[in-house]
Amino acid sequence: MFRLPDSPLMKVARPEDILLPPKLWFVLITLFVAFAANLLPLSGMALALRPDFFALVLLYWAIHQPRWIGVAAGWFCGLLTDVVEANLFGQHALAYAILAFSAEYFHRRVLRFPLWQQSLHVFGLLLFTQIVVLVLRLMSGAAPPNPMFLLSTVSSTLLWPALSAFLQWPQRVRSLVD
Amino acid sequence: MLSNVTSLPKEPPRFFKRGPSTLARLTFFGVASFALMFIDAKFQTLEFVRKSIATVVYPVQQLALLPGAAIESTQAFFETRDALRTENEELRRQLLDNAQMEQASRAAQLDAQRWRALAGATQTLTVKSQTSRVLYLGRDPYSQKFFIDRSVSQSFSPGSAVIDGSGLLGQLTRVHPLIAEVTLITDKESVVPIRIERNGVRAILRGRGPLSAPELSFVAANADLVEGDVALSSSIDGMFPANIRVCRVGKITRARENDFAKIECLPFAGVASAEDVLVLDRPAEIPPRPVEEAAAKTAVKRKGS
Repeated sequence: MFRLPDSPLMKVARPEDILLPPKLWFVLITLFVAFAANLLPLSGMALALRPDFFALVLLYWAIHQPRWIGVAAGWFCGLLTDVVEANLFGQHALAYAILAFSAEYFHRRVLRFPLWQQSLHVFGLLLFTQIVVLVLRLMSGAAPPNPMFLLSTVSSTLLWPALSAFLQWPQRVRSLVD
Repeated sequence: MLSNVTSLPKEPPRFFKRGPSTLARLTFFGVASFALMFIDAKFQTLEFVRKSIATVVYPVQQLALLPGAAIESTQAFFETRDALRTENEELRRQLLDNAQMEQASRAAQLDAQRWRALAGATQTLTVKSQTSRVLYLGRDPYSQKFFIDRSVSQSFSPGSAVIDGSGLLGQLTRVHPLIAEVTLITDKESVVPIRIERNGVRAILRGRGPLSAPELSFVAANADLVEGDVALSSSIDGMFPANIRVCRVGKITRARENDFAKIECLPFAGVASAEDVLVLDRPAEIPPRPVEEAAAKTAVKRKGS
């Protein structure tokens, strides 16, 4: 059975635990850092293996805090991605909006599962997001990409447990003190 | 009596006001995305929005470059003195070689100029150029692009050719205030008019995306091309300065059922490895294309009648 190391930082809330509400500034800062992490100047294999941090953090907050991070937030994040990637306006916007929508749709279900099973949901959602972009690009006449680009979904999925544990940390620290 | 009783509302009150449903929101933003894609693909009106967002995001992009730059500078620090000395010697030898070549080429240039003046041909000007460096590669797996640095004083214009030490890299497609976007010759959208150095055969080089080498399109199967021919840029249509090395002709497939040969090319420039680049100014405007023959005929007729 897959288990995370037993340190307070890596301990993850069970479905029945009640967490403190997150702070809005924490949500915004983590989104910003994820956006900056996506801009790291990588190329070749490193780029193909790079998880889509922005989509991942967006998905996390859309699942955990759907009242703040929903379809509209996803759409704006996608628009930012479109600008920095210098391609057709609106394709990541649409893909991230769909991602946020499905997160909102599935959030009660996803949170019932332990982390590694959540990862499987995350894998499906992120893969679907990439496929949306792929279809939009091929429709707009782009050359088919190197299939390696799908690896980023795999690495994002593998990052999900650690990322969840990390993003939950400030919501639990004080509850440990109590 | 009954008139005093207020009628019950048909629906239970909503406890939480949450705005339109998620599906409605998704539909709205979905339609907005498609509208944006359509407008962006068909018209150029969104460039302003793109530029302003790009300028706001620029500091974040610079921030993301920091870790890489730090690693690079540490590596540079530990580069041994010996390595530097051998490199220095190597460079000095190259400098000598190049000096000799330069002398020769200058003489040849003067010769050529004299001949051209004699022939009354128009003098080709040497093109002005500006240096820049590659900031980062495009992250979009669907297109072959990278971004170069632009200082405020540099006047880049979209369409300029971008070269590195060994050949043509691509073309400037978007110029933002602090960076500029270069579309490589391997991108699917890229088209470069070329001329074969050996015999002057003209052709068009088309990029074909990341998975396959660029190809010369619409070259007759019996055209005089052999593997290893060097293709230079051609100034036809006034897009590129003439005589930049573009690519070497690779595998040529002449299938009987096709009128055209399939000719793969290997770019000279470091399409995947360039660091320092030169942005060449666009050549002088060429006179506009003459009116089509049919239109010209009717114009003549009208004049005659």
